[in-house]
Amino acid sequence: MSFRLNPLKQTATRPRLGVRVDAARNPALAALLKAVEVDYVEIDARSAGAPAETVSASALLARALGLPLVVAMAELDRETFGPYLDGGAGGLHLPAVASVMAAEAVVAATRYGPLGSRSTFEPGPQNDYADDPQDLGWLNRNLYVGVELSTVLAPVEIAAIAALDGIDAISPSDDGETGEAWLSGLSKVAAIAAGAGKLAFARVTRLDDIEPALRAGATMITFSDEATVLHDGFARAVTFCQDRLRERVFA
Amino acid sequence: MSVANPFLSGLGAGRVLIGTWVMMLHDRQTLATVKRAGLDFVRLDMEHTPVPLRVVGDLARRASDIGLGLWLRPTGAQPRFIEAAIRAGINTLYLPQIEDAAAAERAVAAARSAADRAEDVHITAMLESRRAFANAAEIAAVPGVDCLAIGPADLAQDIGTYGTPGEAASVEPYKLLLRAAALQAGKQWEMGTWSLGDIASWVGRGCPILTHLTDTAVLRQGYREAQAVFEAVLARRAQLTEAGHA
Repeated sequence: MSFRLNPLKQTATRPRLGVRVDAARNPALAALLKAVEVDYVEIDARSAGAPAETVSASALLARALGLPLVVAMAELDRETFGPYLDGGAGGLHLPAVASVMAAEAVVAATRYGPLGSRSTFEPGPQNDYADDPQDLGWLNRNLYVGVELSTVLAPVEIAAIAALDGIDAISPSDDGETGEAWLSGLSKVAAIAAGAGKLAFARVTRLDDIEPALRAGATMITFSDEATVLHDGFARAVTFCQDRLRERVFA
Repeated sequence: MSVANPFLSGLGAGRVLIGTWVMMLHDRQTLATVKRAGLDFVRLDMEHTPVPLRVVGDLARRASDIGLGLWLRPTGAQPRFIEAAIRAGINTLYLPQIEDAAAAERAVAAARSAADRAEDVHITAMLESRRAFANAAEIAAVPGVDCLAIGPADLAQDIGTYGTPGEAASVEPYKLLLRAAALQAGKQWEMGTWSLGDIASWVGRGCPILTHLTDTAVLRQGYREAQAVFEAVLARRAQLTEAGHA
């Protein structure tokens, strides 16, 4: 049986661009995102709009398309993110890791033994319904896990987290800011990640934020979300239409 | 239960309604998003997307709650599709493949007999073939047909220009025919726009209803824009690196 390789686990020669999906409502969105050739999709389960069953359907389609699907979680506990992993997510972004011990707990919860203690059952979306017994070591290596770091962490702790086997990427905490302080934090985190041979991920909402984030060393950039893209695209058209109407009235 | 119909009262005095097709994101959040962006309506499409009628009915009620118009293009213009849509609470119908006045009359009769209040029903007849355009004046004159629209892709197939460099030019005269037939009959007319230039063009020609792009087209454009910026930054960095090494 050939497994579906997770592109996020392959060595990259350049940074990756992903997009955020606020509400996993229609798995067909994965096909659209594949068509526009983004490198990955991040489904935001931090709000109420991402039921695990729909995310799983999206994840299965994304896996078949070779599009990595990462789920951003609101909590660190394995009971919350476990169903997303077993539903076929190619990776997780986990929030607010405030200590090396917390990062070790992430590894334990997301990786099968002997690296961790993730529970297993039967073949399913997590291994594309393939072999039984499952090759747990291979599944470990094929899963991507990134963690957001609490601002309380010292550089030495960040370095220890980045060095952990089972942590693929780190990021400064996501408080919705993309100003100078955030960029400075990203720059420090990205340098430590690069030193450990790991990825540095960042979320931006505006086109103008892409270049500064890349300059700060981000190797994975998640751009905006579908609701914002829709809103901005249509708002531009509405404003343009109203301007043309005013011109018509005054002509 | 029927929902209120802004298309029967939202026009006039030079006003233009602008909306979009929702082809993928059939949910309440999308309605709220496009309403916030300033759109007047959305159109759902059962002819070319697999959206279930119960979802359409739910979204029609939600759209009505937030003051957003909702049109439905049913699978076809046959009475059974129209009656099912009306029963689901949709009273604004965008009917595909209307070929002649008889088809329009059958559609209007089906809609009015199924509706609680016939005066709340709004019918758009889509003209999508040369035969339909030959009958445009008669279709427009049918009482109960409120609006005319064009299906440019199917029309281009009928003409034989679909996918060719001459497609747009071959369809253009039919758009003007549509406008003339609607104005002569005192009916509304609607035009699809695929660029800001299209909007400028049709606003300039007095079109009262514009359907701009689709949800999926806007997503594709938005993400491609982000990707273009991303690639441009990477290319600039590569050039700088190269220059540094030189």
